[in-house]
Amino acid sequence: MTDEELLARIAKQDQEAKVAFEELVRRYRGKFFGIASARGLSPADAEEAASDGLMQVWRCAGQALGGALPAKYWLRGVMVRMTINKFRKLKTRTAVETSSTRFDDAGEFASDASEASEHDESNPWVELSAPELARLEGEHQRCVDNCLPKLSGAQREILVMLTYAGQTLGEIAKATGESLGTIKSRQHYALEKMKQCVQRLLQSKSGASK
Amino acid sequence: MNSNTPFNEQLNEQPITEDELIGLVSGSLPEAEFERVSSAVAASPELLARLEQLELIRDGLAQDFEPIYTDAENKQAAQKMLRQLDAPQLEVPPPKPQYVPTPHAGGKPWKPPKRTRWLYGALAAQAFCILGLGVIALPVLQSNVGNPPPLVAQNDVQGGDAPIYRSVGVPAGAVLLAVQFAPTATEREIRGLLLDVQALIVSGPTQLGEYQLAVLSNKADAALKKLQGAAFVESAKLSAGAVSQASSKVDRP
Repeated sequence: MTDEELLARIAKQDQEAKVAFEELVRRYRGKFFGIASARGLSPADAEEAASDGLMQVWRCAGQALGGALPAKYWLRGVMVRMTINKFRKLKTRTAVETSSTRFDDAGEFASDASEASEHDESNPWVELSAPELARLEGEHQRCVDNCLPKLSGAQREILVMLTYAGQTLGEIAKATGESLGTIKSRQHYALEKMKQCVQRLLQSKSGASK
Repeated sequence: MNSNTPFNEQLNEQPITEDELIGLVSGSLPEAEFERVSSAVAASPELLARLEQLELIRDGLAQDFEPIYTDAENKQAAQKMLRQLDAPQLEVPPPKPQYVPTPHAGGKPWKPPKRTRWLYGALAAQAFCILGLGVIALPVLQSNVGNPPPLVAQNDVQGGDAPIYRSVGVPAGAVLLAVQFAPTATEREIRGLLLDVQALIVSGPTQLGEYQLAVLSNKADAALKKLQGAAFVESAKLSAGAVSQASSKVDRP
């Protein structure tokens, strides 16, 4: 059963909905916990936030129906908002609890920034066509998995905060005390590095297959 | 853009930025933007491809954060959440207090100063807690008079080398019971039962809704039977480490 079908059942709020909710909890409890945890909540608070998020899904599952994209994007939105609410309740900083020590290899950022003039500002992914990407999806995930460890700690951190923890550039800038421009630059070079690495792997694989 | 284009369509024609795509993948996109961005992405193979790339990166990063729960843990958590959702919510706000005009306030209704209003609430809550504790604890403590705690007495008499422990907040030698009340149980029912079996709540509820009760050792069996027989008690059993010993270590004289 797809996520959308589960949410449709939950939206009915009947006995079947409870069974569907159990399945949703099975699929998303760990994911919700992960988002809250990545944003800096303690395990206990992340657990509570995940429960709050799932209960919120129960209450408003109907809103997810009829969306243009898979429901997982809507579900993530719910969880990110619940995590922010949890931070507000705890009266802690709404931004991630990122201290300067988490950017222990800030020098990597400095070296990235120095390379700025050598890169164009083109979109990291625009060179790959959609059909090609669809065809290479499985292979692509393997390449991405191979490339992620090659990122510096700081580059990985910014991708975690942006693509996983659901933090905005403004929030990250506030949490790290850096300017918005610096954070945008870091984002660009982290994505650029991933793109180049993935493309290099894909090219070497296609060359080997020929 | 055609000036006759409806406003909604004009909005949909806004180019989707990389930041918005990242927001969509991560869930940080504002609710108001979600529909516009997701519709535009769904209609564009190129945007879908970019979204997929970001999704792959996100999936690669997810493994560091997501715990693996057993099915039993998830089922238990889901049922607990459903119980919470089923619980009646207090939606009726308390009535606003009626302030009486007083001559001291220049004929205007007197209100406590805003900065100290919380103090009145805190004092009232404190007084309520003290009264509540007294009502529950008194019968237990009274019945403990003349019954010296067996464990402590035994150790003292034997003069062994083992350290003596006396509990804090729990009568020494009391037996601890782990009890889960039905979600439908009212506060009045629980209080009545606890007074009846002369039990004291010493901790809880845990994440699973379990309370630890302390009862005197000579009344533990009877209390356990009564608890197990009560309609609104889901489970009652001897707690692990049932005899209260821990908490504060007392040096042997």
